[in-house]
Amino acid sequence: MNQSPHEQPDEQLEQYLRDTAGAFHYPPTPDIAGAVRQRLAHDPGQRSRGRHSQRRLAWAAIVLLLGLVSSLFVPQVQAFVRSIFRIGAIEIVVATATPGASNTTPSPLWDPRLRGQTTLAEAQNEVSFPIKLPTYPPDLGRPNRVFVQDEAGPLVILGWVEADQPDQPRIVLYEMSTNTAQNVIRKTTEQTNVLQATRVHGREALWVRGPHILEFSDGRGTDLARLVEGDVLIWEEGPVTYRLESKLTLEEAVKVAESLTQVPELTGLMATPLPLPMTPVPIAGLAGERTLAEAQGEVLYKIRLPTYPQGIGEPDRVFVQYLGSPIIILAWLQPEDKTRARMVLYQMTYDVIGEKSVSSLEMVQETTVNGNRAAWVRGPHFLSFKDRAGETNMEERRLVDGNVLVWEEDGVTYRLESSLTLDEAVRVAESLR
Amino acid sequence: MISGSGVQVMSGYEGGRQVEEAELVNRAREGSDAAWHSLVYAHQEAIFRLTYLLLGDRDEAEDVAQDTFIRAFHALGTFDETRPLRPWLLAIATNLVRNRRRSLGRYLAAMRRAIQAEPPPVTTLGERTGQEWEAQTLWQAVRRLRAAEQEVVYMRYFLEMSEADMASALQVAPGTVKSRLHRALARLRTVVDTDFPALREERQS
Repeated sequence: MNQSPHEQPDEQLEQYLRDTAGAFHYPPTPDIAGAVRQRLAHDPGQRSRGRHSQRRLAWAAIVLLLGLVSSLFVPQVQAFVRSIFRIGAIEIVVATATPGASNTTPSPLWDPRLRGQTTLAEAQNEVSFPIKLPTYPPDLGRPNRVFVQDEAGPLVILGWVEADQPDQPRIVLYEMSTNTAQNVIRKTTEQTNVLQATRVHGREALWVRGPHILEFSDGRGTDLARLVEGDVLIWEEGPVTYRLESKLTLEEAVKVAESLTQVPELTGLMATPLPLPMTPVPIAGLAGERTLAEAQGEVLYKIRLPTYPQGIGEPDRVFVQYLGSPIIILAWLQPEDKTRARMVLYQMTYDVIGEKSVSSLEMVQETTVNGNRAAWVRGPHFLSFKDRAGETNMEERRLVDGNVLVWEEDGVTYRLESSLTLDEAVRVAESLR
Repeated sequence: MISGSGVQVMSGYEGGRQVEEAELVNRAREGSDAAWHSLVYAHQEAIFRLTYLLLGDRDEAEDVAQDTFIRAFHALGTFDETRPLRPWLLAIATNLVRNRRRSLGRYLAAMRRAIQAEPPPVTTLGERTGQEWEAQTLWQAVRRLRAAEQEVVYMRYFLEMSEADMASALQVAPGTVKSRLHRALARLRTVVDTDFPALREERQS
């Protein structure tokens, strides 16, 4: 039958493909189960091959400062940040930036090692939020470079080059899902730059000035660093967080930010998101259940229980999770829905360093518990833990839709998730025996 | 499996197996490494084969397959165990492959261009049937397609997945799966016609 291939109906081609593919000879399947078992046994928390970036969302935590300090001058901010955000075993990492670090290359954005270069349409395929493009300045046009990264959540990088210098970035716009558990970009700091609160579409935004180093991962465990010579505007719009690098003035940058619009031809291409741990996880999903007595047997310090509110009683469920050393999780359930917790108290020691990555513009407030410094973190956020080696071990599953009080007492760090007010939460915290 | 009316008859998971799998997932979540081990064992072949088809290299495929299960293990908390595990695992694997590919892509594309004239001969160390040769050559043809197109071709015709499972694995709507398949087939036809004359003849016979 001499039918031109282009006329062959799909079904025939499909049948051919099925038949032929069925005869495909694969290499023998290796013992992956055994290897995985070994890897998990040796490093139960470790991410594969250190690929997983320790770099956390730190840069978005900058916006925390907006709620905390009214005057943002360099040395004071630095000191203030350092003192408030380390609470015992929990460190709330604040991104700031450092100019002039030694081993960074002032290379253009398109480091050839940066993976993920793609087209706008393919990028849209990979993320579950609509990619937006600025319509200001009017001569900007489409981005010259598009990268997609998915180190720990989808991130789109859009780059526009200078007309006369095609390897110099003119504007670089990062778009990422605010709800992503972790973000790749982190600016490390030795000195802060000037941080200035501003507004985009009337909502709080952050302007970070001056040259600084931007670090990110190339996806293969190598950290790349780049000198960003311009200024950066960071803001949020609903579920998406943006970061705009440029040499524009603040006013101009805000104009660019406020000009972001959806791209009609991309709308059909959005990926559907994998379910994210943003809604509180039913308590049934938590591993490591124990009795209180068993849990006490696994730690050297005394597990303390709140005596406020009156009659609160022992926790309904107790869990022990291991991230290097144990974290005790005590959960009091909702009376009307025993699959959900109304209050959860974590207790841990210094071997576990938790890092709070704030993924939305929320408030962090300093307070005290029994005279010890404490932090009150409101609103949705993610908590991740890393051990002393710096390897990140676990993504948090938020168990309570509410706020978190973190404090340290006598070498034990506590973290209380609840929907209580700050005052009530502090009372609970101060009632521990 | 598609019945005459085009309706999916079987998604690959019978009811009983699904329940068993959910059990194992729950136990794995609670820390049973035997449970996770058996889940990995049940799915390792499919994951390995897909990554092998996409990457073309046995060792890389093994790496990515292992990483898939490690990553999946740590993400078990977010997995809804009432759904089949395999498409979720394939989603993770596909993402890992995409990330890995992007950095290699540049170099491989250059290499591919260099050998575009003739499909590379398949050297056989053992006995291969004529059909195996054809399958290998077909694979070379599919590898000329774009990554997204390859993914749907492998999943559909090599792994024989349903469109519903593919939609989960690719994290797109089922309609998108259909249209990608359609485009992929069109492209494949062109590739075969221009670059793989031997295949074309086989197909028409």
